[in-house]
Amino acid sequence: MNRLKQLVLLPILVLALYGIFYYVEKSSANQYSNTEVQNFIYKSSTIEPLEVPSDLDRRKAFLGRELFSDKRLSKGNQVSCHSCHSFEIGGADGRQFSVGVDGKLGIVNAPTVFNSAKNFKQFWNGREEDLFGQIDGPIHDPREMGTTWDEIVEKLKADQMMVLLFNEIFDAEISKDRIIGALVEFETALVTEDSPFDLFLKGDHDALTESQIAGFRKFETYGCVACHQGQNIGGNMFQSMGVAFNYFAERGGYFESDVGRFVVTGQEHDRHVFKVPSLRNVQLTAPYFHDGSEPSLENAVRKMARYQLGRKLPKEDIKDITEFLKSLTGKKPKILSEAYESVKK
Amino acid sequence: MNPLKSRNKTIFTIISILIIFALGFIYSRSSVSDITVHSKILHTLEQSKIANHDLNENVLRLKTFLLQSYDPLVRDVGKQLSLCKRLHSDPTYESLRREQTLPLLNDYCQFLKEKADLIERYKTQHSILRNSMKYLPIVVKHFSDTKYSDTTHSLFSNVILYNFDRSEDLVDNIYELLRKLPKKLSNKKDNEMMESLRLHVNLIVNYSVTRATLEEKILSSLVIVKLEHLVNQYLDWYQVRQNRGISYHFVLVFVCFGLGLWVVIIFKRLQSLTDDLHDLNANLEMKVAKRTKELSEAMSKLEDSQTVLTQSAKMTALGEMAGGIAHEINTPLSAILMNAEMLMDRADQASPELIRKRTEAIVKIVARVSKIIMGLKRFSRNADDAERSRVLVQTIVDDTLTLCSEKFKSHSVNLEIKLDRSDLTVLCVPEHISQVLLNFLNNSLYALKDTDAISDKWISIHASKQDDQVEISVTDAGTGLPESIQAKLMQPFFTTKPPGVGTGLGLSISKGIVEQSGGEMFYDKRCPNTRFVIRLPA
Repeated sequence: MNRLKQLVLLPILVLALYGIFYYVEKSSANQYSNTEVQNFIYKSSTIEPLEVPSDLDRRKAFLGRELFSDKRLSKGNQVSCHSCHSFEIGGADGRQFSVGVDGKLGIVNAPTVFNSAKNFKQFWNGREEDLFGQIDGPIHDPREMGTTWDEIVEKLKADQMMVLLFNEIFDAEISKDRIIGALVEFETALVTEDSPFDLFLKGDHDALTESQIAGFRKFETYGCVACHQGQNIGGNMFQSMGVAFNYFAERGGYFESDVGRFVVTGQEHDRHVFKVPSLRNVQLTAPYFHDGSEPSLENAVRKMARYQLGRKLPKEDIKDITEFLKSLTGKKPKILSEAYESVKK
Repeated sequence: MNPLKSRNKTIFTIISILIIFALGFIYSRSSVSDITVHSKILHTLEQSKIANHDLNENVLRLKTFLLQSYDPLVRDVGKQLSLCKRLHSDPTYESLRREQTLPLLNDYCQFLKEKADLIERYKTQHSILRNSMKYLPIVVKHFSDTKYSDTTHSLFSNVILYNFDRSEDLVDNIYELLRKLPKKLSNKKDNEMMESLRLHVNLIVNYSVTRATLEEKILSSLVIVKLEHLVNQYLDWYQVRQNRGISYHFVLVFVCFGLGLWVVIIFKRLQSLTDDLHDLNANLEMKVAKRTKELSEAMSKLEDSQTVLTQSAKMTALGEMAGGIAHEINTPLSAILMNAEMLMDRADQASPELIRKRTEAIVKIVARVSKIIMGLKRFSRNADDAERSRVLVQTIVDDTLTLCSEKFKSHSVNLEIKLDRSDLTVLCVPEHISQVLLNFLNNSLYALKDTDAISDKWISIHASKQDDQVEISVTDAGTGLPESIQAKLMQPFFTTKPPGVGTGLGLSISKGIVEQSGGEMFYDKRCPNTRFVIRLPA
């Protein structure tokens, strides 16, 4: 009789305990609001929201803004920085290859200027450490601006207005270093804050649609995030183009720029290695890849999944991920809409 | 300027310049390096170490394949590289770029760059592995309900193991398991999954080797060793420099102290010299004043003594005559006494005539005595300020003789007075001339009285008029004076008399007196006898 009692009571006891634990667990889970849970989840994420650097010299940046659209920085006053890094087209120009002086075409797709200061190195092959060194590239490249600093300084010095501006801001005459300083200061200010995804990261759960959240999950689980991480969602490492399958063989044709970082280091393991580009504002910066060969974002996601991840993604996943990528489009940098007078003392 | 002095000046200038240069040199060597710069350098080096440490830590953390961004790695590498760049170009870190440390610094930066490259590669490899490692469980899960479940599960566990322990056995095992799986599957989805399983297992096996080697290379990079070496070298150099600086500092302090002391000593000496000069100046004035005073005192003393001497000479002459005078007075006194006694004896019987005769005699004698005393009084009067007057020579001679005629008589010396004319007068202070004459007479008497060589003892006073002068001479029986005595005759204090008898001033004072009266006095060398002459204005 006793044995029977035990046999009956034991399961009941176990069940009761389980019930209590279940309840406790549930109620404790309910103690956190949705945003808190989200914070808990995404705070330790691999992606962080963008921030505008606080130590900017705004007067210099405004001078940089003037210079950025100044065609005198090119041979024969044909193009400016802005010609290929348009603020209207996501900091790029929407072309496969940019058009430089005398209608010459470049050999790589122009990357966006937005958030470029946050990239760990500059150019697709990462041959310059920072923007100070980067500027020399397009200035001297005969396919881009095709000029020299001496020429630029001379032209700017002829402009009384420019002389006055430099005098006011640097308290010195126009020089190469000061032009670069102003341009870099401006470019450093070109941060596209408050994209929906950043807002989501900051705790605004409603900033993303269901599809976008699902896209982000897939972005993580498929392993896109292995390379596209950090504050700039990319732009902090190099990766070989075509890890799983040979991209270049399947694409066909040959581009001068396909050797990638090999040009810089001369090391065989750097062949076809490129800087992982930032995915911020990726919606606006078509066409994609270093060769600018893919105009469609969805196709770009598909290609990346194949060549880099060795995966074939279902259509709906591609769609979700594309939706998620669209949530990375931030607001236009504030410096573009601010008036110069507002900082004049 | 004195050439010697100008040379001294040049030498002094050169020495000063040398001292200044030496001080400058010592000062430059003694400059102990700025502690803020030193601490800045140490701080930067320390920061480099910390950045390196963080970098290694982050690399190790990536090993777990937990979701993590590469931003910290980028930041650490960037930080370390920028620190390196700063050490290379910032003027603050000048002392790190010296001969001894520059190769070490270059070494360090070189190794750092190599490490940074390794990290770039590592990131590349790691991200691929990470992707595959994330994907594998999904594939394994896909086959979990099929007959390949066991194979895929053990494949998965082997792959995971291989990531931490890359042994050949495991690789063989993995490839064995892969071979067990079918190449092709009928289900399209299954087929895809199987393909990606193979692909990713291969990727992991391939990349984990390179990743592991890279990881090892990164973690065993000599960056930290080179950095330590640099730090040690720098600290050694700093210590040496600091010590040197401190010792030079001491030298500098001592030299400065010495110079200061020297300057103080020189200053003191200068001060004392100036003081001495002042004292000398003051003393000179004082001395001059003193000497002047002494001189004037001596002058006045001399004058006084002149007077005293004159007086004493007079007194001597007087003293010499005292005996004579006593004799002079004694004789009349005894005559008076005789007459008076006679009158006393014969007082009762004396005739009036006798009384008259005797008293007349007494009166006469008293008059004579009185005359003698008058003469004495006149003579002894200090007649310095007496006025000159025209006096009869006869009177002067008589006045003189009343004082001494008795003395001559007692020494049986004949006294002869010969005046050319009885009305001869001279312009003089009579007392003075009497003194002079008395002096001559005394000298003559002294020469004559004790000698036996001359039997006929005489003294003659002779006065005559010559032009507008009156010549009075005193000649005695003596045979004249030897040449040697003649020369010194008029000098003060010259005497032939024994000590205590004469003052040796008689003749010199007499000469002074005569000359004061506008006359002259000399010893007549031509005369065979001893003859003194005075000439006075008539």
